[in-house]
Amino acid sequence: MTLETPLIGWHRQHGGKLIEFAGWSLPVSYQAGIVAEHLACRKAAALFDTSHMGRFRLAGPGALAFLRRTLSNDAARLGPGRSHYTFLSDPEGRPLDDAYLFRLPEGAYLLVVNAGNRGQDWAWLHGLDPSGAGLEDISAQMAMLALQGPLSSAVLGRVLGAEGLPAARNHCAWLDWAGGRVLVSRTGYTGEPHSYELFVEASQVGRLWTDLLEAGSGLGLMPAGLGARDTLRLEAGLPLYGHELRPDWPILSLPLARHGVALTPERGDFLGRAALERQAAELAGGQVAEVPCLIRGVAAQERGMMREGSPVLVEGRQVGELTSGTTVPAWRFKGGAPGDEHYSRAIGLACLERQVVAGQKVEIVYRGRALPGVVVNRLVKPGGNYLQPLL
Amino acid sequence: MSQYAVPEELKYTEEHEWIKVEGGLAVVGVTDFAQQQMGDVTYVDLPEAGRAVERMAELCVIESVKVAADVFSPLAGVVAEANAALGEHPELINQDCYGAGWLVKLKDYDASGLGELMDADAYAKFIERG
Repeated sequence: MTLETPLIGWHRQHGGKLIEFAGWSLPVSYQAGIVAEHLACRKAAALFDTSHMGRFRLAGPGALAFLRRTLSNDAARLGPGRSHYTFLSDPEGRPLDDAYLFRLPEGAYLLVVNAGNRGQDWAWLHGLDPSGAGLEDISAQMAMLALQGPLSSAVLGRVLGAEGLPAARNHCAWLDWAGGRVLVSRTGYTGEPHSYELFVEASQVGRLWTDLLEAGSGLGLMPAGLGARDTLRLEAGLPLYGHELRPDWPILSLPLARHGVALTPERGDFLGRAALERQAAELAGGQVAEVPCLIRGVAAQERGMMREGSPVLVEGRQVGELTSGTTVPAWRFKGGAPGDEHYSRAIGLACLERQVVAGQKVEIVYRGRALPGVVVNRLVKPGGNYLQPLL
Repeated sequence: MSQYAVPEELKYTEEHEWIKVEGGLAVVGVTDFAQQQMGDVTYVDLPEAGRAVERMAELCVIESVKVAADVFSPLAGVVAEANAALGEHPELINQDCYGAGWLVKLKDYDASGLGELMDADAYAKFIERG
């Protein structure tokens, strides 16, 4: 049986090409297609149904203590109305999941986990004695949308009013709307400088979705599916669990994971701490033991294709392989803003031996062809309101 | 009215290629059904002119964001020309699969293979059956 979000009817009626993802029936794209939806997000805005993500609420008196001993980042760092990236680490410093932890303005916590790991995460947390933490799964009651892209603030302002929108990344606030309220968070999975995630009662999400689309219809806002969600996160260099993060790989193989791991002395022990400290010490000291590879960006220097599993070669020797890869569209920029023309480029994320660093020329092998490419620290650069493609 | 265009004058394969004989050359492309299934085409790996291909051998690869699709040669022949415009504009396959989005022209093709291809009626029924 596949699971459905409250918006399934809308997706069906509006040309959503439904696929199964992590047990959920969701659109991979709408009629416009992945390319148009990706481009809309980079130039205007895109709206995603992300209600398939798992949402756990923790409002008990023991919530903070529980989160501090079970998550890799330090929940004590979060003031009300703030959020951060974090991991559910196993004792060996390997990821059970990557997640986002929100401290709501009233003080309760909201942990957003991957759809495909929700059941496993729930069981894991229950095995760690959450008594007193008030842990509950509110995925069904509370729906979730993502509104991403340079015009997302303008669209949101038309629906919720411009007053009170969170102004900085990782800030969140409740805004009154339609007799209820919406949790507006300045977060997302596209790398966009302007990006929001919205949490609302499931019974109200249909109206919020259509209000946002209506408000953005003259601005270039498009509904976007899982396909564009994946190409956008890939272009932004963001990990997808099962690809860049794997249950048998050390968490710190992902350089971005540093932002979700707090090894400060004052916080005390937490699950996976000793292993994560070993990983961090190894990376700082230069020896190669538990963390032989790191996730890096790879960009083709010619027209071509690369996909997950493609070997990456340096002078004929394999130094790793792609964990994600495809061709993604990009706007040609004119005077600091996207113009009217677009092109496509092949990009990927790869797990590469640690000595292979940015600037290294490589070949990416796909279907018998060796495509010239280069290792990069990032595939896009922020420029004002826009994310601009590099290469 | 079907949701897929199937022009009357073309011949078709079960792999969703179309063929049109024109001025001594066999023009090959993919059908509307195929391009809709693939989604946005982002890259086409085209063959070199002069390459000899067997019937039902791989002729080229069409890549979309999510999938790679092999295109098989409906006839044995020699590649006379590949559609160079697809290098810069692979989306032509989505926009005009029976026109500007053609893939390859074959010369010296084995015309006896034409008899084994489907006409438009048969192909329309074939895709309806799914």
